[in-house]
Order: sequence, then structure tokens, then C-alpha cells
Amino acid sequence: MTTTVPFAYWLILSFGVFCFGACGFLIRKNALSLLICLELMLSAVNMAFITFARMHMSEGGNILYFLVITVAACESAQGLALMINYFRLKQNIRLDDARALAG
Amino acid sequence: MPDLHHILFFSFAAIILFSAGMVAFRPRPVESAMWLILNFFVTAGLYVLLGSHFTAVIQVLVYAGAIMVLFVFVILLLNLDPRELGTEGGASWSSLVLFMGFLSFVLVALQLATPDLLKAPAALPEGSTFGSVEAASRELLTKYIWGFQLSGIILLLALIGVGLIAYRKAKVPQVKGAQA
Amino acid sequence: MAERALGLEQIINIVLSASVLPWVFFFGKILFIFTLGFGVIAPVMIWVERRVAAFIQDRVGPNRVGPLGLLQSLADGIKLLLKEDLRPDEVRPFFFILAPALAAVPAAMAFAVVPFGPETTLGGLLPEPARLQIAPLNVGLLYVLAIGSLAVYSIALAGWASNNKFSVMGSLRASAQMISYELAMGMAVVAVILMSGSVDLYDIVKAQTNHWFIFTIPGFIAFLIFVPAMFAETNRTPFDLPEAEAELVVGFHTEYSGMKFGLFFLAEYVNMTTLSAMCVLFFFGGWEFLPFGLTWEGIGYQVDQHWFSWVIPFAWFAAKVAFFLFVFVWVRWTLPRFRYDQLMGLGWKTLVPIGIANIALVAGLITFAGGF
Repeated sequence: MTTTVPFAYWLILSFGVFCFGACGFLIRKNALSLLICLELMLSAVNMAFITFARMHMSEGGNILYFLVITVAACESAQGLALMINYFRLKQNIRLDDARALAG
Repeated sequence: MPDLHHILFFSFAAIILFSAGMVAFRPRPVESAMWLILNFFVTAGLYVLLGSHFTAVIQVLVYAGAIMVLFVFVILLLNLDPRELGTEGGASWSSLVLFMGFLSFVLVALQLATPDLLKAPAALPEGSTFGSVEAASRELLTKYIWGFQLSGIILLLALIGVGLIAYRKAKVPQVKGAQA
Repeated sequence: MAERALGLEQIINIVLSASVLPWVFFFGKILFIFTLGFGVIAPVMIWVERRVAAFIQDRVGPNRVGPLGLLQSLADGIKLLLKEDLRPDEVRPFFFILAPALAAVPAAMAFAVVPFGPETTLGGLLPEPARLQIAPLNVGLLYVLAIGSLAVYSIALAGWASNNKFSVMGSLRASAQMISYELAMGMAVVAVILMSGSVDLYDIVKAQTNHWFIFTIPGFIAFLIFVPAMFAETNRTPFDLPEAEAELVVGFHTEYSGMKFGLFFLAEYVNMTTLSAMCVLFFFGGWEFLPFGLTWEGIGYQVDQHWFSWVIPFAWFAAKVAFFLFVFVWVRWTLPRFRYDQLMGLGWKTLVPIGIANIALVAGLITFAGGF
């Protein structure tokens, strides 16, 4: 299937999704939502990669997508493990309370 | 008559943007997670429109099928109440605006530098294998073999790391009056 | 009158003309496969399950409604539909309703790519050979795996939305179990992909013309991994820990009744059918007649001679699938349930390592021995 929609639209969509992810990341106050917004941002970046791959008719973008998704999987697994440990320690996942190391 | 591709693209884009907003602003993590699953699913649809079938399937298989299952699993496991989640608000809006401004600047610069972006893209040439499983895997296992190997090592390290972080010896409860 | 008769004739002509026939074929197979899946296989399987269970336990089983009790499922369905749509007080309403829908939709989506017969032109009616498959995807196998991995959401959400300890326990177990066994199933399937060199379900069947994969060493090992994974993915005994009626009441669907429960039930049987069909396609040559080159062409049967000639291979395929469906029932009423740590141990410490070793074996055989 070949698209007839200009690539600019795809990039703008990717940008929009990224903005939502960044907004969420900056305003949310619990670790779980933060990780979810991180995934959203990575997905938005992936969308741009696939658009560029199609633009240049090169598989490179698809490969980058593959690598990003690997890192996303690792990142979410690590993040969730850390969060579970934090929850065991403090019985909450409020990030505002996580200031034991603040001067 | 409007082009079918345009209709599909704009309806998908509307769903994606709406669900992205829901992900960012719904108060409970479980709702965010469900909207994110919808977002990933429709994004896979967009990849099909771009002709990249490999990534579309991987998107559903890995993002929606594995990563988000992990999120939902942890949400269930912790079963948090609002008190444990903390209050929202007090965002650093200035940094947000600065960040968005920078990104929009990059995007506009990109459009200005490459006016082709606004034209309808050329059709895939006849017999093109772009985005098929065969083409993507061939590139992955020849040209990008080191990246592929590296991603395997990263996954292995993540596996070990998660095991180290999350593993805790189960405390065997002491039963009163039990004979040892 | 004359005008109307002419109109009818024209319509018949249009329907029979080659331009419309592909569309008739297209919608025909959608209608055929979904009627078969949701209207025939699921109700008949529920009846078979109860009759076989009764036979194994030396009882009679349902035999009152219709001949041999065959209409029992119909009666059950009517009962489920007419029951009060009960919603307990403390549930989370939106997700409580969403969960059964999320069970039924992926089941139907995965069922849509199951090929059920050889490529056919319907005896020359169609301009080019068409596939007996609703969605002729070239990534069919990956698609089934991808959609199959979505089934866990319905169970996870059902348990969480029910706001019930037993349900949450059930859905936690289900999530962990399905993630683990998906991995084992993936390992088994990778061996099949390596042997056939394709992720297209039609190509996988074609690659088995000369030898079914079950009769090759790596194929047999993959089959041994695939079958337990298949039981675990559908949450059937001996891996029905998410339901475990003895310890968790019935786990994730404790709070469900009426047609919402019916949807879970239906989805389970459709998923069983999809996975049985996958097993037949991967290891037992799909709709081909017998192993070792005895295909339909090999014994002189033309699968494309008449417009109905595809029915015989289809029936043969259906018979193979029916056998695996019977195995599901047979195992359920024969084997006891695993303990939870045994389940996880089997998945992670036995099936996954064997699966990885099997991939190395098949890759080595193809690279160094030129075949398997």
C-alpha cells in the first residue's frame, strides 16, 4: 500500500504525540504515569523514524525502530522493577516524596 | 471525491492525538495505560498505510502485546489508591513551553529546508519490497548485524538487572506454636 | 412485470459476471468462516466438552434438549442472553463492561487469518487463484502471535475491574502465565519459521508438501513445546490456574454472569479453534492429505476442478483441527491442575531453554547439513 499523504503531515502528527508525551512527563507526579508517558514519547519518535524510512525508501528507519523498541522494552522493565522496589520501601510511588538525597 | 488514504490518515491521526491526550492527562495510571494501548494499536494501522508491514506487526506484538502487558501487570500488582499516587499539578510550565518551542522551531526549519515534504509522496516502485519482513530482516542481519547483537546484549543486561533489583527472598511466616 | 423480470435477469448476470464474483467470494468467505467459528464450532464444542466429560467420569451428560442433547448449547445461549445483566455494586463500571468485549474481539481478529483450504479459482470462475482466508496477509503467523498476545488484557482487566480478591489473584496469575508461555510458543514458532523460510501461513503449508514438520526432529521438538504453550495460552487444564475453581472460585470471571460471561466462554472456544488450526498448519501439513508427498495432487485429486472441489481438502483440514479440539477436552478431564510454581518452572526452566536449543539446532542443520 502506498500513501498519498504528504510526509509533512506524518511528521506533524509525530510531533503532536511527542508533545503530549512530554507534557504528561513534566506534569505527572507519580512514577507509573511518568513511565507511560516515556513510552508515548518513544512511540512518537518511532513514527518519525518510519516516516523517514519510507521517505528515503531505505530500511534503515525500520531497523532504528527495531532498536528503539528494544531499548523501550528494557527501559520499561527496569523502571517498573525500580518502582516496585520503591513501593516496597515507602508504600507509595509519589515522586515529590523521593527527596532523600536532596541537599 | 476525497482520497481514501487521506480519510484513513486523518481519522487515525485524530484517534492517535486524542488517545495521546488521554494518556497524558487522565488521573489514574490504569486509564492512561488503556488509552496508550489504543494509541499503539492505531499507530500500527498508520504503519500499514506507510507500507511498513514488519513494523506494524512488531508494534502490536512488542508494544501492545508485551510492554503494555507488563505495565498493566504492575498496575494490578500494586493496586494503588489515589493517596499513594500523589497529587498532580505544580508543573514546570516554563520549561515545557521552552521545550515545545524548540521542537516546533526544528520542525519548521525542516519543512523550510525540504519543500518536498509537503508534496504527495511518490508511489512505491513496482516490485518494491520496502517494509516487508524479508527486506527488513535481511538488512537487520547483514548491514546492521552489530546493532542487532548489541540490542540482544542490552536485553540480556536488562533481564539480569531486573532480576537483581526486584528479587527479594520470600519471608516464611513463623507459625506460633509450630514444632520445628 | 416484464420490466421487473428483466431487472432480475440483469442482477443475476451482474452477479455471475467476473467483476462481481470476487466480491461475492470475498464476502462469502467472511460469512462462511464466522458462521462456522461462532455459530457452529463454539456451540458444538461446548456440547462435546460436556458429553466427553460425562463419558470420562462415567456419567451420561446433557441428553434432554434435542437429539443426543445437541441443542443444549442453544438452550444455554438463550439462557445466558435472557439472564439479568447483573452488575455488582463495587465494580469499576467502564472496565467491567470493556473486559468481555476485549476477550471476544481479538479472538475474532485472530480467527480471521486462519486459512482453511488450498488456493482455488473455484473451478475457473475467478480470474486468478484466491486464498481461502478472510485476510490474505503475508505476515499471517506474526499477526496471529500479535493478536494472541492481546487476549491477556481482557483477563487482567476483568479481574481488576471486578474489585474482588479472587478475581485479582486470577488475573495476576493469568498475566504472568500468558507472558511466560507466549515466549515458549514464540520459540517453537521460530523453529517453524526457520524450516519453512516464511511467515506466510500458505507458504508454511506449501513447505510441508514432502514432509510434515512433525516428522522432522526439530519440528517434533517444536511441537512438544507448542502443545503445552497452547494449553497455557487458552487457560485450559492443566494450566487453568487463572480460573482454578477449587481455590479461586472461578478467578477472573467470578463476578460475571449472563452474556458478559458468555463472551468469555465463546472467546475461549474460538481461541482454542484458532490455536488448533495453527498447530495443524505448522506441524501437520494443513489441508494436505498425507505426509511424505501424498498430497491431493499426488493421489490424483484436482482441488480446483469444480467450484466445490475445495470442500474435500477443507473437510480434511477440519477433521485434523477437530482432533486437536478433542485433545483439549480429553486433557482437561484427565490431568490434574499444576501448582503455580510448577507452572512457572515448566515454562521458564524447561520449555524456553529447550526452545532456544531447538532454534540453534534447526539453524545449524540448515546451515551445515543443508536440510533438516
